[in-house]
Amino acid sequence: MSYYDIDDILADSTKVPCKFNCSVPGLGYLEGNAGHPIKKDSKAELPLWLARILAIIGAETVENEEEELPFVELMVPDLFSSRVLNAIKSSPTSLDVHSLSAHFYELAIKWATLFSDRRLVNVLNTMMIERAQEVNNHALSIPADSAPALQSGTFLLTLDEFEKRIFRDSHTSYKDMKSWMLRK
Amino acid sequence: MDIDIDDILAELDRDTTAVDQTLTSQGNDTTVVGSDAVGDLVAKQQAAAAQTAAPPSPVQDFNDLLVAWRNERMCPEILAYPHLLMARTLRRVQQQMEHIECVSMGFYEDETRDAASAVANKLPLLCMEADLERLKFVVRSYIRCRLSKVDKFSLYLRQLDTQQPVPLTELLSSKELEYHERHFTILLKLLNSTILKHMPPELQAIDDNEGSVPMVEGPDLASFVFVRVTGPDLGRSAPDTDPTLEINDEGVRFYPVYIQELREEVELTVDGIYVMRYNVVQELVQARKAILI
Amino acid sequence: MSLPKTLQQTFSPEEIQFIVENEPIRIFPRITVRSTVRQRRQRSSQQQMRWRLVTAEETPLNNMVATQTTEVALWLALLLKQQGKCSIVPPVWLTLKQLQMYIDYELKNPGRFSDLPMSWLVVAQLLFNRAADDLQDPVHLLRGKIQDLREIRQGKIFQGLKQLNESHLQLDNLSILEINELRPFVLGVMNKLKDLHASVADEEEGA
Repeated sequence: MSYYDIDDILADSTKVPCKFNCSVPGLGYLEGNAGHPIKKDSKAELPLWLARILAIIGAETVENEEEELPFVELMVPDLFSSRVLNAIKSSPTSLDVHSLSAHFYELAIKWATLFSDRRLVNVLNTMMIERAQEVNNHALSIPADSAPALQSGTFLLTLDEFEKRIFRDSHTSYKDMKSWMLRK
Repeated sequence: MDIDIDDILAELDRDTTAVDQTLTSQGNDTTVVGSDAVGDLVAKQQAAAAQTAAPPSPVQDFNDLLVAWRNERMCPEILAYPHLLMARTLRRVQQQMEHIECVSMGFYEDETRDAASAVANKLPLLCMEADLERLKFVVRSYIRCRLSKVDKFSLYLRQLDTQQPVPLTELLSSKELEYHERHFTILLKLLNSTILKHMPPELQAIDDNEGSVPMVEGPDLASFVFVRVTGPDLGRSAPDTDPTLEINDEGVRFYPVYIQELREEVELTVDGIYVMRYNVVQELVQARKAILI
Repeated sequence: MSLPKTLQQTFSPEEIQFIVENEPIRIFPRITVRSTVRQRRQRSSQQQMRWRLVTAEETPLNNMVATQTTEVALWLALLLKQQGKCSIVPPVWLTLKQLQMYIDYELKNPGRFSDLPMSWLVVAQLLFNRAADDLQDPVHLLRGKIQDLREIRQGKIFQGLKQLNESHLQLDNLSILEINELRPFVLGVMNKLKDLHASVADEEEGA
């Protein structure tokens, strides 16, 4: 991951649902209520880079004397809901990952880091390997001179950006190899 | 940034007869030397080398260059420049070019047998030209690869301080240092004139590493590489000369390595091929006990 | 750019061929280069070094005697062959019989690869194209066997890709070209698996 990595930046700007732990004056525009405060317990979608900070930093004005609550509480976004995770577990290759998020793995890694979510990592591990086999099969079998996405059915349309890169790189490699083998 | 690589290479080609004044020591020998002592040291080293062993044969040098090239191509970091090897190689390219020139002009031929030897020399000439082109190809590709890393790690290389185990003058050749210096100046000028000067001063830094993601990108030493374990000195030395080699219960020789991040020990057997994190095999590669493939 | 983007991550098959071309192979020269004693006496004043090389051994070339086998770099053998100055002695494994034995081994051992030389695919391909008449068996049959071997091994490699992980892989007996072909896929996926597992690694260290 580098500072200028565009996929990393895009993944970080994905919006995730949050619940505010306290009322904040002037933030009402986040829930379409400009000019008003955002209320305690109201929900808003914030980009991950912002939500992450607000979920870590404690608000100074906490009503109870107990330990400081952070500004917001991160809620599990749809794409990591148990419904999606179950779908992944039952059939990783038939899942439309791209429609979940174009930066699914990137996002999942960030999410797993935030919550030290080993269960998520294990699901993702199996998913990545199984889908990668399929990506590899497509990368190998598609003729070198045809437009891949058009004729190979739907699987290739379900890839996230990481999988697309793997597909492109391996396809180039197999293609170069085939043309080398055919050389006289 | 339109720097023409061919100019740089042409310049390198022209300078091959002059021995690189900054060369200090070769490859895995990482002695740190002050720049004024360099000349002496080179002289001493060369004298010592001449006394202890014959200079490496062209084929030996070529094989070492091949290894250096293959390692460099597959390695995430920029490896130390083999100063002596490259000095010998570049000189050899020049000499061979002159030799081929002389042969093709017929300078070595007996006047009485012109026609016959001209024909007889045609085949060797053909081979010698192909041979030279092959050497030049490796040199070119090697330098290109290094320059692309110098570009990529421009800021990182600048931040490497002198405390590094391998000083910058050792890591890069004098030409590469000069290239790096000039490339960095041009890059900085470009960034300044296009973007940075329009930003508030506190947002102008391009080398702030304090944030959550450091701005300066260094090599990712943990990235995976394909590696073949060769044994000591690229398999040229007998295995029993290497104290770090161990033998397991089945009599197989291996190097024990440790994957820090996973707290996992792995036995890398001699002649084995592995996909491994680079930082795990970095020392083996630098000590010529394994080669990146 | 000083090096094309694709070449920053892998070798091209042509570069792999270049690497393999430096390996030795035996040839039958059709010419004699070594001078006879009498000739040498006549030219004693003059050193008649006819070959001087910088990447390969020159001695075998300067001592070539017609029909006496000698060993030279593969690229030299192919060049001499092209000039009609030698025939190439094919490596022992490049016969129908030997290749069939390798195929049998590959089929019998689904979890292993036979110990073909690191360069088998490149050498076979080069000799098929440039020295077909030197091979012991008809080239189209040999091609078929090589193709079979390649497909069987590729099938096994793809089976093995299920073993990708964040730690390491051991891939003994894979040839240099097979590795190169797989490189973008294997490294791409394993690097990502590594990132994935690193996301929860810190917690473990703390615990």
